[in-house]
Amino acid sequence: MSKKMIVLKSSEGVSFVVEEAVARQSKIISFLVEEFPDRELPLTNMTSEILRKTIEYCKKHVVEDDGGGDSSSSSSGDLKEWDVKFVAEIDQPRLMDLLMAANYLDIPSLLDVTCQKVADTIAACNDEKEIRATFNIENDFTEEEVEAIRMENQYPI
Amino acid sequence: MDRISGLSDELLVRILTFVPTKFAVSTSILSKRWEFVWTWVPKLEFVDNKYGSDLAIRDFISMNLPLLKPPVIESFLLKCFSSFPPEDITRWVATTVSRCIVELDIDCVYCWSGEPCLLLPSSLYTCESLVTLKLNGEKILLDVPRTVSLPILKTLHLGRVTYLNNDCFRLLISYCPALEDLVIERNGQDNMKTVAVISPSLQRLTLPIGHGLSPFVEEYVIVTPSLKYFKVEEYMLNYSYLVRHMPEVEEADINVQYYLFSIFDSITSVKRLSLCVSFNIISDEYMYHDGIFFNRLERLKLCIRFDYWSKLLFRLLHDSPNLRVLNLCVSKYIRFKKYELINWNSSEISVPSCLLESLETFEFAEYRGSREERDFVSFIIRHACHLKSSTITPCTGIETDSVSESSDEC
Repeated sequence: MSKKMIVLKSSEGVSFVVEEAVARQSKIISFLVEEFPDRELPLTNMTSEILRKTIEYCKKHVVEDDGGGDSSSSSSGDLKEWDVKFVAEIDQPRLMDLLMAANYLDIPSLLDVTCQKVADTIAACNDEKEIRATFNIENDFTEEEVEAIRMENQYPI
Repeated sequence: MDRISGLSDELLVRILTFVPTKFAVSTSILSKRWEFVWTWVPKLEFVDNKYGSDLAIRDFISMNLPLLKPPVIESFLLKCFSSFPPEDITRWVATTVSRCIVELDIDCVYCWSGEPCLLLPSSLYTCESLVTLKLNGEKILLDVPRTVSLPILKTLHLGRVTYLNNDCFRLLISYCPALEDLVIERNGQDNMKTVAVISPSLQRLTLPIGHGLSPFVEEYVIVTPSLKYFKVEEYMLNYSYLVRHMPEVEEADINVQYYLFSIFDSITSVKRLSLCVSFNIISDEYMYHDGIFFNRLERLKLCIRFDYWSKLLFRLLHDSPNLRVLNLCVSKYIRFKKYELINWNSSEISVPSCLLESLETFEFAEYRGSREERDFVSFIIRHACHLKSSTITPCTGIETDSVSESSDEC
């Protein structure tokens, strides 16, 4: 039995042909497929690169419930390991893109994985200066303001 | 603006939810964009105090907890320190209850001296949002009101808490209609004489029986018809019990010192059984009753620390006709001069049907190579026709080796 395919189009106009079950992990796509069957879905704010990454994640996480022998779903432990590796390989700007894509397409598990990776990066920093440097955050506080907040939030800064 | 600061408030909060509270708070001085983001984070944990004084944590919680923005506090994990006045903790818990707390975890193991002094607010016992409650420490005094009702509580861990009276525990459990997971640890003077676990919904139960310090003859009443997992550790001889049959039990971890084999009647449906036996008193009356069969048992792990191991094992093999995996660990540090051996080489010995029909995996850890052990291994190899894998790991301890040799001479 052939699987139903749908077409997703990136901001550069590149078409990706994806199994419907894979793409339906996005709640938005799931909704659009119901509303506009047999149409290609333009994702104008997603680059090909990020769309490809998102599809890679969804392919890994698709749960095939047809009971067939070629199910690609893995055990939860393997999946977790795969997720860690998946986000470890991505540089920070692309991680942000992927996080926003997960949010935009409404893929909760991918959103959690990307948020967790950002959180780990924050927690790995030694102080606020390092966090600022890591994420290019501009400090728009005066020194007095910083001191005032420090005093207020005694623990645990 | 930089990429991360450009994310929506919702996304920033979501990111900080994955960060320990300590780090989440520290983001308040990154920039103006970040100053109040952390106050929306619905998860709070104060468990680690490597960086500041206890007093600072106390002041921080007292000041900030009431000001937090999320309408629902998803979790509040607190490790208490002795410098926290118990009344403060009571007030903090009340605050989280008023904010629809979902998961509450209070650990005050090394706090305070003297009598139990931490009373939880009565509102906690009628909290309609609470799903997980973990309390740890003998200074926590459970004074369960008659109005108790925790309609959606699923997980309850009571670690060495003190009960105001004998009825508190029963009362609490009785009004948790959704309870699935119950873990109890006990201290010597917790005022509980009757442990009554009567719960139609309960699926997982971890329970110690006795602890050697109780001044009473304790009573155990366990009526849990939906139980799937049962872990029990027995530490005392002097107790009475009523354990109803648990038809759904699939897994059990049982640690016996005396005669807990009486509990075998109720867990005959297990598929996986881990049994650790360290008898202090050996006689036939401590063996389990005749007529008990484990027809669904597939995996048996047996850790034995007494001389009758082969006799017990022989019974278990005969009574488990569908056993697939046998995992054996014999560490014999309790030793008696004379005991009855099973003669595995005898031509009259009956071969358990699981060996002929189902046993696929055999593992023997702490193998010392005594005659009895050698005979048993060769018995398995001779008769287990479906064996696919066998692993024998020798004992590495020198001391135990010498004990083993002396036993061969008996």
